Amino acid sequence: MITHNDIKKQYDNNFRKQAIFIPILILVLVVLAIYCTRLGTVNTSSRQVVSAVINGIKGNIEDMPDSRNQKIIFLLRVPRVLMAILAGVGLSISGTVMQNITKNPMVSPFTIGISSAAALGASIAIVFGISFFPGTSLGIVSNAFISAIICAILVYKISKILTMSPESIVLSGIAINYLFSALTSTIQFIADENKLSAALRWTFGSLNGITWDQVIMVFIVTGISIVYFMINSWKLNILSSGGDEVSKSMGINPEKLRVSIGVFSVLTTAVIVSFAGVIGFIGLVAPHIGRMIVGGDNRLLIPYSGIIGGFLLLLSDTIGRTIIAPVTIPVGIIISYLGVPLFVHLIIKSKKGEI
Amino acid sequence: MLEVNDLCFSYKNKTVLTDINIGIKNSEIVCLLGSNGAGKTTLLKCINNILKPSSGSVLIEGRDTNTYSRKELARIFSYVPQSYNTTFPITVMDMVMLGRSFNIKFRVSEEDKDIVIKILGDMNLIDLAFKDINELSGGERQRVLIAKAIAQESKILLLDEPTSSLDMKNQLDVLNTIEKLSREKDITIIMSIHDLNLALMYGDKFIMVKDSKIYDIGDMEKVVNVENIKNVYEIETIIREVEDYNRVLLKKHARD
Repeated sequence: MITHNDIKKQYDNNFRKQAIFIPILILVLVVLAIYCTRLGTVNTSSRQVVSAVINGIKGNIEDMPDSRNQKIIFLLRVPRVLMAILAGVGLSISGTVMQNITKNPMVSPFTIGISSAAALGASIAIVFGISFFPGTSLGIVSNAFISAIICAILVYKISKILTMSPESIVLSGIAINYLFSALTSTIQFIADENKLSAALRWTFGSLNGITWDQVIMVFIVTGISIVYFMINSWKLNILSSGGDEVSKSMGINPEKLRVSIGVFSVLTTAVIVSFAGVIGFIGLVAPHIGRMIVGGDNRLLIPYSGIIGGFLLLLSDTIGRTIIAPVTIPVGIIISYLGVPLFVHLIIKSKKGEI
Repeated sequence: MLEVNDLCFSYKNKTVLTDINIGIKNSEIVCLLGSNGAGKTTLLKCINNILKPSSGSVLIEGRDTNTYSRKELARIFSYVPQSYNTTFPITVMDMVMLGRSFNIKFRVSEEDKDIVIKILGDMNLIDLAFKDINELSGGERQRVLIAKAIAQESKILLLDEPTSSLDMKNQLDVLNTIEKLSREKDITIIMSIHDLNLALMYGDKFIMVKDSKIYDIGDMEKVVNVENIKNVYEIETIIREVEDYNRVLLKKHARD
């Protein structure tokens, strides 16, 4: 006979057990990040990594005896490793909330064309120099965001005409995705050669040449989004657990929530795509892995998806830049090699009831 | 006291409801009757302002529902739709806990847990507390949704076909729970229901809807009679009293 207290205990335990892993996983991610920073054509120690970061922040790297190595660490590797983690976190939490507001497990920044649209905006800024802030990172980002928002509005409007069913969102997303990809290809086709390589990068998804400025910008946007999504995580639970009418009857305004969450997720995607290009798959796979582990409660799912995304992208990029060093394979390619088999394996296992 | 005054609702130039006037006393069990597409579901949604009426008003204790915020309305009405799909995994207890959302921003309080667990017990859902709702049978899922509506602790419960996907035992179980809730906690129940015999066993008041209008409203004898049933449902019936309740018996359609 199960008593009232048994149920309460189990409910508390389930939540606590899963919540306590969040700080542990973050710690493991930090350690892994330090380890990944050590790897590369010049091998370094963890102590060097830590001291390079401290000296870099203090601004006295030049005075160090091994300033060359420290510079490599601080100016090249650390931003790259941080961007891998931040892009993984950002794309994954964006994917999670996009799936929630559309009630659709097939949605992600990539599958509904947001990433391609952002890449188009970025390409326009790079190749033609057309933007609100020409020649600056902000110019690229603002273009990416505007283009991504136009894409989001298009997908939303078209699927609304098609009654908002899960299929219609994905179908209109795929169509819009092709349109924006074609536009980007057209720009690449007419771009002159020295700008072509820069524009091509955006279609691969690569973390080459990431700078501290870019890391800080992505950090701020992703950070604000995480906080906003977490504050609204219970409301997202209401929205994703039933129809809009039920949400309304529970005191929620579904349209308003959808728009505000949508804008933050599109912004996060746009900023990441502006600097790292189109990295597909991660925004789809991380939320699914998260759900297999913690279920659908967004209070846990959002942090878990983010951490999983951070891990996956960090590992992918590290493999990409070390496996046939000094040649670097773009992270967008590695994530598919790594993520697809993992994802398929997990789906089969969960369908068999082994997870 | 709930009053619906001259309510009309149109959707894309199609009139779904016209001139609806209803008065419902507190803690009554009201059955909405009528054939498919008559406008019962729309009427339920207009009552709790999920759908905005084209004209007319709904008053709660004399105050227009338009003057309440969504949050305030959620404390007055809870709503259980006819069909309900969840794409993502959610446990029974988490689902019922969502009913407590008026009290939860992020952290679930001890009080919320106690209330939800008690409801799970009342609704015979304790053994299923940590099961994914997507793995339940239609009847179990219906009980979960009603449990969630109860957890909302509102004064008026709106149910759209609460027994449609249930077997006979579950139909009686669910309606007994709803009746008990109404009697013990003074909760007003408004439910659309197709099974006239179940309606007669549990209803205090009956509203028959036909072609977007109220065809008849009142107590059992006035509304649920052979004449009205013939006009509204286009079927022939016999009504007999068996064990204190009127029972509607169907006559087989004559073959054309």
